[in-house]
Amino acid sequence: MKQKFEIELTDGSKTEATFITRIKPDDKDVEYIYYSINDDDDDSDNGKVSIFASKLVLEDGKEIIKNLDSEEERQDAYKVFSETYKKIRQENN
Amino acid sequence: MKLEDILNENLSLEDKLKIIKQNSDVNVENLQSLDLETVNKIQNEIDNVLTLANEKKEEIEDKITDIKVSISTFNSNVSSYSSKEECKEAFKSINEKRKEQSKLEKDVSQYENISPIFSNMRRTLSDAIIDIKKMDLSKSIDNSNSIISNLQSKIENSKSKIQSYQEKVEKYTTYSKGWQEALDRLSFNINSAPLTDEEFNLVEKWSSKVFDYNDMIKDLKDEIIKEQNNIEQLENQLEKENDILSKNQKQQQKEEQIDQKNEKEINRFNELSSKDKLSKLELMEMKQIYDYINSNGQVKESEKEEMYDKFITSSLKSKDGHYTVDVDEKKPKPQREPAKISKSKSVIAKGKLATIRFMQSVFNKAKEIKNNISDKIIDINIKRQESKQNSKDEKIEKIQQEREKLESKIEQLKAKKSTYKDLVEEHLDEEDEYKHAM
Repeated sequence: MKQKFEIELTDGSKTEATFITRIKPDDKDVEYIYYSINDDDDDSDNGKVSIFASKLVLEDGKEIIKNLDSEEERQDAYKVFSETYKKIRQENN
Repeated sequence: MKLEDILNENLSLEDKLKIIKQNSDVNVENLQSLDLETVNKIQNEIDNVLTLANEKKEEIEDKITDIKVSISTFNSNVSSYSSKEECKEAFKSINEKRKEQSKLEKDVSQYENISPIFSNMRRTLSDAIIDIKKMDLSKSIDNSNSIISNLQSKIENSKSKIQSYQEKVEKYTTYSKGWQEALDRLSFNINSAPLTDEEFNLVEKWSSKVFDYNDMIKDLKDEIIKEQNNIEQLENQLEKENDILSKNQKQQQKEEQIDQKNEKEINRFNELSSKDKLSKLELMEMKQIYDYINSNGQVKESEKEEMYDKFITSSLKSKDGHYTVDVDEKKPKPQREPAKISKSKSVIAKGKLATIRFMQSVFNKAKEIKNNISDKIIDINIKRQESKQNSKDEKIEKIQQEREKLESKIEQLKAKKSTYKDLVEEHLDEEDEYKHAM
């Protein structure tokens, strides 16, 4: 399953991202978006990919993807993702 | 072993799981040789096995957690024990628990990462059911046609027999009449004079003919009645079979019409998805087609998933390459630079492409597509996780309390030991004094 869109990295390069999901935890104001990007040096079908997390914010009525601000936010994004994923797996099974 | 072998009730959960894993690459073509009932049973059994496997996994994981907690609270300080035996027993007990943990970790591995296999298999089985139902309907129609042809042939055969019998009846009736008339002439002669021997012989001969033909006519008439009854039964069967055929043909026609409509809709969908940017109306049209196809029982899961991917891609492409909500088209769009993403601040994990795809499938299943075309928010219940964590914390706290109790007891025993030691030394001093005194 591929849901592709373009993302621009801080080094100015643009790359193709594959959407995974977006999650807004109940008890937080932030909404995270998760997507994957192929590792530069491996394009094969079973190669490694990195899962990215960014946050979605509303600016002038539009939702924009923004960088996470801190290491703490990055850790939180990871925790939200893994706990949600685990819960859905349990519920689906 | 084949996938259908999981229906064997004598197999254990582990054996069934092995069979499922061995057949993880099963495709729709492999399953088409099975009948519908078997495939449905396999589908149910797959769900059953997955439920049991997850329960087993959780059970084993809980045991592993308990052991880890005991091991973590194990005090290896020799001085905390009152004797070498007690120390040895404690180490032995913990070592046994550690061995048990290793064994449990090995046991639990067979239940891990099985969800993708089951998801794929369920999907394949659903798609196979669609094909099998179609094939069964075709076979049923062919079968009906064959039966009808056979019945018609039998009816024709019986009619032909009846005709033949009727022709014979007519012929024999004519013959019988002829001989009867000859006898009538002879009986007329009796009125005038007794019959000669020769005439008497004729009477015997001719009357025998009349009766023989009459018997044959009777037999033929019985046969005609039998064949007529046979025809009636065959015609009843024919009528029933024609009803079945008619019903199946109507069903097949209906399904073909739906298939044609589906194909048309999917073609339109694909046409829209190939566009670089879609208007709001076009996106709405895509959504409507997707909703229609998604609820359609004649479309395979694999097709539906492909459409979903295209739908999401199109919905993203139609905006500015990032997520945006619908805005009033009349308002001027603010010029804004999209945020640049820092790799170091954003990467939360790495994994194999296959794993990521599986994760996507897990999230996609949980999603609902609503009218605003963006992916909806997935609820998480962190409290559930916290409460689970809390119960583990409570367990650890309880064990720590027990440990404190034991430590306190050990201190008391040490104190007693120390007292006894003093007493023994005192006694030894006294003994020395006594000896010295003696």
